[in-house]
Amino acid sequence: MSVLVQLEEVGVTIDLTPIIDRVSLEVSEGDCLAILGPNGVGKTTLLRLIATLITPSSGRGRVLGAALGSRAVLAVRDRIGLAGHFPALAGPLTLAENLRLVARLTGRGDGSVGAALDLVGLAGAADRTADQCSHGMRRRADLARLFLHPPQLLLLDEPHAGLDASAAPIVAELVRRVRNAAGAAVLVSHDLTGVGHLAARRLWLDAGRLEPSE
Amino acid sequence: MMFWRQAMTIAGHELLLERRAGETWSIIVPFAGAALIVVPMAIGTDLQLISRIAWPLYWAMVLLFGMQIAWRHSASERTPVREVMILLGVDPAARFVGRVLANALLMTVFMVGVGLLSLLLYSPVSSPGFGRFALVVLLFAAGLAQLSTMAADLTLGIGARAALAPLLVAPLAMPLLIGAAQSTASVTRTGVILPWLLMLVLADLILAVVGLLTARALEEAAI
Repeated sequence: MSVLVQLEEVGVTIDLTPIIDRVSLEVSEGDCLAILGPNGVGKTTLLRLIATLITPSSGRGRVLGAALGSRAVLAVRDRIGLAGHFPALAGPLTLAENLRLVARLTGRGDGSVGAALDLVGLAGAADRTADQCSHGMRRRADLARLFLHPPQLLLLDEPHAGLDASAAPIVAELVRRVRNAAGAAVLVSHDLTGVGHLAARRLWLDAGRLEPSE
Repeated sequence: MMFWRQAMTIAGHELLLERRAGETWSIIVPFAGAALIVVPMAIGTDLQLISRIAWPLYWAMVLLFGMQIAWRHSASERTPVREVMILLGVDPAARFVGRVLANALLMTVFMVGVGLLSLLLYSPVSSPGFGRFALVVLLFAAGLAQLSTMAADLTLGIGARAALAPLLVAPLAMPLLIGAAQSTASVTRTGVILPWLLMLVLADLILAVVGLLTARALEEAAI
């Protein structure tokens, strides 16, 4: 199985403050890795680093074969899917219109939008604007984006935050699809109960350092 | 082909956002209209003077208020949306072109609206004629849209953006302002506007090249 993410002694310093300190990890095809830790220890920063949105201050890393900090990452970014704390939706547009933008930019037909919304239980809310939706609905719509344009490397930040219990199978299904398609998932959370059953491996992040989790 | 499909999709998205949010019509146009009304009050009852300065005032107003169109709240994408665009592999140059097309279209409509209001309020001593005026408006809108879109990217995430962006755009927009104002003035003075139109075309081309070449660097810097 090929390695999709490889970090070697990677550090990230933002505004002179070290956030990530000499982190090393590997994620291979079919993996689902959970990174756990309390608030403010650098989980989101680590996820954004893997998403190639942050350049490491020290150490070396490769994501989908591209060296972090090099121009090669530009060619692999469209195989990375990230759902962060805040749903990536334009408030004045309907959920369908938001997803239609993704469908069109990735060369898919508008017809795929309805199916993606159906998968996350929002078929009946397609014509509601994102501003009219609850936070939980917006998070579901963000997951629908990842069903619409399935990534090889799935990155979820606090995947269950703001979602009710009925949404847990949606996250599980998304992770399952990515893993089955020779991809991998990295989930970060402060709460083991949500992601524990999804992840085959767990690491604990504290003060920017990674350790194996119990 | 992919480039233009992405650019047109982004342009359509921006226009749809503006249609829903309506910032240009509900905020920028009323402010520009208010500014046009305030000026004659400050000048007083000298109607001849008001008629003489009608076009220079018009160009100053569309420069100052037109640039706001590129920075309207609904157009300044929130960080998560921008990051999704990056992770979808959208070409930053295509995004730049798409946003410029949308902004240029909005600015053109805005300029026509403010132009009609100027005719109504100021009764300018001369008119450049619809065809020539339309050409100058299109060239001016294209240049201002490119410059304002670049400034929007450059100042993204900066707290003092509202003050900083106009400071960046105003000096760099001088060739556009001079070209447009002189085109309008020359129609009545000499009838020769070709050199000023060429100046506008050249400014537009330079801005297009700079915008396309810097799109990726500006996007990466804004992450």
